[in-house]
Amino acid sequence: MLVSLAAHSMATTATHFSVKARDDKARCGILSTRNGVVETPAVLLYTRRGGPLNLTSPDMLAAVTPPVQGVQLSAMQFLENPDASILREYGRGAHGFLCLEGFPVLASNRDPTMYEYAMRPSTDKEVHVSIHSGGHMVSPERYMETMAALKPDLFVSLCDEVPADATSKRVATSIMRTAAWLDACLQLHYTYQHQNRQATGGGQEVDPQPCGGSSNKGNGACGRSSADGKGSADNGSSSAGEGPLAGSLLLAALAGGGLAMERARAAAAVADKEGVGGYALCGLGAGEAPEQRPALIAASLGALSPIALERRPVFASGLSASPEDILAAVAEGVDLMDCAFVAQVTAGGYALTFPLRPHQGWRPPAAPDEELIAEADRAPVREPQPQLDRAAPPSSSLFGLSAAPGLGPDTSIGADDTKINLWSTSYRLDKGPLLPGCGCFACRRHSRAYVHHLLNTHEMLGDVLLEAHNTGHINAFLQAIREAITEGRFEEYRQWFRSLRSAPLVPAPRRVVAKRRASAEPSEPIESEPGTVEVTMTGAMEVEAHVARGGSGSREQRRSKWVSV
Amino acid sequence: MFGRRFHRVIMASGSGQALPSSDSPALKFKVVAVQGRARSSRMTLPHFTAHTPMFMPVGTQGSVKGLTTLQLEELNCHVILGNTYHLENRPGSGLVAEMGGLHDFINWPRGMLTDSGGFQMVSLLHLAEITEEGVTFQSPVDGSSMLLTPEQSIAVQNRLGADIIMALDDVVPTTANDPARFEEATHRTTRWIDRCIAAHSRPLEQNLFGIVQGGLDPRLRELSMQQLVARDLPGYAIGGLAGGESKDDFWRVVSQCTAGLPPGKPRYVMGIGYPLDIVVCSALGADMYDSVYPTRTARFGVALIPEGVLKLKNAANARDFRPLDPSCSCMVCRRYSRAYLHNVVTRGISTAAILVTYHNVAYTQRLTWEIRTAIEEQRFPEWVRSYLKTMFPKGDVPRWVREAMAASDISLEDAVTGPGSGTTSRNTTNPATATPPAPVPTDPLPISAAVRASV
Repeated sequence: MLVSLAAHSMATTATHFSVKARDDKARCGILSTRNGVVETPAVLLYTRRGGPLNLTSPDMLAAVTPPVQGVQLSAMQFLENPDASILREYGRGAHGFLCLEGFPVLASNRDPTMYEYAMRPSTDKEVHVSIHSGGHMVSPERYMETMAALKPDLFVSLCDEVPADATSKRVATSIMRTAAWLDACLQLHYTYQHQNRQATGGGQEVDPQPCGGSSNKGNGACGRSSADGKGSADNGSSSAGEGPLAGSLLLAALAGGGLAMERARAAAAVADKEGVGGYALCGLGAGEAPEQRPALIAASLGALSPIALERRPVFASGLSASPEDILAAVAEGVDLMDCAFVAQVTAGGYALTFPLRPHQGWRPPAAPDEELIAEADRAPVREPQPQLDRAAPPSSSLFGLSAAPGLGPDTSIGADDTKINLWSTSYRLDKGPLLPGCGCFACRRHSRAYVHHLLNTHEMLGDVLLEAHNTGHINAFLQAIREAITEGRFEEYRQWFRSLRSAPLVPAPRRVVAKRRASAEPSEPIESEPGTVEVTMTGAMEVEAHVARGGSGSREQRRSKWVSV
Repeated sequence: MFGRRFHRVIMASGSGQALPSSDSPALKFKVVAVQGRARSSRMTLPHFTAHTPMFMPVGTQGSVKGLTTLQLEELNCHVILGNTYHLENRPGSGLVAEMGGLHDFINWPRGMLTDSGGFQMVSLLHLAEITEEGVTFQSPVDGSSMLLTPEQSIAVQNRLGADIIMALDDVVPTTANDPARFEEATHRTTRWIDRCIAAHSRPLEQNLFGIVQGGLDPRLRELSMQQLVARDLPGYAIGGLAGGESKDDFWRVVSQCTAGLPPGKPRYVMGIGYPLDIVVCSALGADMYDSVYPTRTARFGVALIPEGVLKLKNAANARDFRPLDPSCSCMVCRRYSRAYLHNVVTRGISTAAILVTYHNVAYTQRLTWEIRTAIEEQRFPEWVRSYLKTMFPKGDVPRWVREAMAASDISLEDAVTGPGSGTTSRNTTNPATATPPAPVPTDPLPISAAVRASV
């Protein structure tokens, strides 16, 4: 029976995944679904109660460049208002109800911007979630009934989510529950795949009791089958695989909280169980520190065999705190991610401006100290980099370089802009786009001054423009990541991205220096020409420079002074 | 009856006397069709040629509540509004001028109209002090004082650069029971129009409209009109309405003014946004309307539909899979159901508010398009009857509407049943689809709730 289960699920699922390129553990793939294709790694658009926060569908969603590839929604937000019975009555699944036609939809078990779990205790049979309408106890049956009504292209199995600081006992319980619920979801998935199609076009009230339990398989036992003849399987396809979840890929929840060993154990137990179409890393973004995440992800995925991972996409939820998080996850082999980051920076009034590609000729640096010394001893002024912006390809191809001031992050002078805060009054009169060189809707049509004004006056349009830009920027980021993986230079790309955060100091141009003080204190920083790009020296950089100079007390200043720009 | 209709057709087709038109330095107004008192016209402004009767969505602070300027174009908006008082507060007209004017600042290529700031005299009355010199406001943002004189208002509007600018008028809420105040305001408005004209530094690029005041007193209205018309302005507004006045008073003032203002110039009734009011005023011969009503009521979860309004939060909508308005072909009605919007409006998700706003603007634009087309095709009275039948299926058209239509020479025989009983009550067939229009929307500002969201 289990073998036939596997054969059925593989044969009927219309969603499938294949890896196209690899670079160490990172991989590029194609996820094809009935509603479109996703090139992975990809970040999925965040939605709340089924809709983006600020971008209307379809017009504003279609205007995002590079395009949105897929959408994530939380199934828990469809337990009530609306609930499964309303969605069933509507009959066209999430795609129709939410106007998401043309987008692959992943229904996950949580909303990455809020934490619905651990408000109240869960039981072995049901997990407790807190949603817009209050608290709900969710069993696998209720969960899968909701999934069947949503008809997503991929969905996550029910998981007993625990915070990162859960005790090992609690974690062990969550693993046990999640495993049992996975089995239940697999059974129900099979049932919903092969159930005869609902009568559509009518308000016929259906029996809300879902097909549950291990004894009911296939057709006929659910009370929703072809008793009235309408749901009969004479639609030109085989009787198997016409149910609401036919073609949906089940992503097995990999639990284990914040404990690496437990995560490995849980993942090993899932392995490549029949019916499992992919994996969902749960328990992240649950209070752990970002730097712990790579190890947790590695623990889960490391316990899976390469063959198991070959045809199965990996979805990570709750980890998008920053671009570095995304890079770390991709490096561990994650293919799909949800995205709280864009929602959060947009809500804060930020426009993402981090550079997406190294400038031509960038090489990974040697050991930092040597680099510093070597540079200081050479000619003091680095040649200006060639101006690439004129020849740059349009829209999202954003080289991390600009020789002229005010035109995007200038990495040759050590700028590492990640985002700009449009609330800042420094943008009051700025006629330029949010990010020069960006081809998104907001940057093509509007200025920083206008966005600043909109934020200041609490106008919704400000958030609309920022979300359009930020979503596009993240999509462009993932595009650059995919290119790097395909060209086999992903690790180099990561190094470059990290280097932006701690760029080597740039020697100042030679100038007449004031008489050095006799004390052992480091000299006062010299004010350079007022730059149009702001770079702040962090404490760490100061210490680094200080140490590089041989510590305090040294009067031999052969190296460059700090520059405060 | 037949003879009169025949005569009207000849008039409209041009073989009778010429249709009214006017040629001002920065505005050309050309009536292209007339039926009764209603007229369909073209108004050529520096930035765009608008078609009237038209409704102008309000973008008070430089944006129409969540809609992009591209969406406004797609929705066939011809002219939108900006508000002088608010824009001078933030970001300041000087900054807007540095940015190249309001059009460039917000990237709107079509027509723009700025209010003078006078309305805030009413809506922010508790923060305003009115003298002959001007109005002193206390800014609601930071409490600082701002003196708005006619000269200041025009200077600000000159910097903003809209196609049409409004004179600063002395506005008295119609509910004020103070005839002396109305008398004073009428004369002061005339003195201020002269100051506005003198201060206007861009007469070749911006059209200064005067605003007829006078409260509900026909004598004062007549006086105000005469004095404004004597200044030969490019267009005239009918102000001081859309307050708490009764509908009976409201339509009579509009009727008197449209009859008294020159036919070759545009007539702008300020603060009108209820679809029924737009229809009545167009029948009486008005051309331009503005209101925050369609966009504001959307954010409260109320959609405009032919039957009246649809309160999306009503529980009956939870399982209603029809679009907001089955006869509407806007993006929202083609794709979304009432059931979906029911759950997400007014819940702090901007997209939901924007979707309903989008439909409400589409609805209002379609309404005025239908009015124009019906006039041009000489079937406006039939159109009005059909419109009223949809909105009042039981035939209980309010008395004020019947009287206004009579004054517009539009017969309502088959649209009404019996003598009018209720004045403003609307009957509904299905609570989910045809609820009465939303009551005056609650608003933290004491007076603006009544004004500009006409009852």
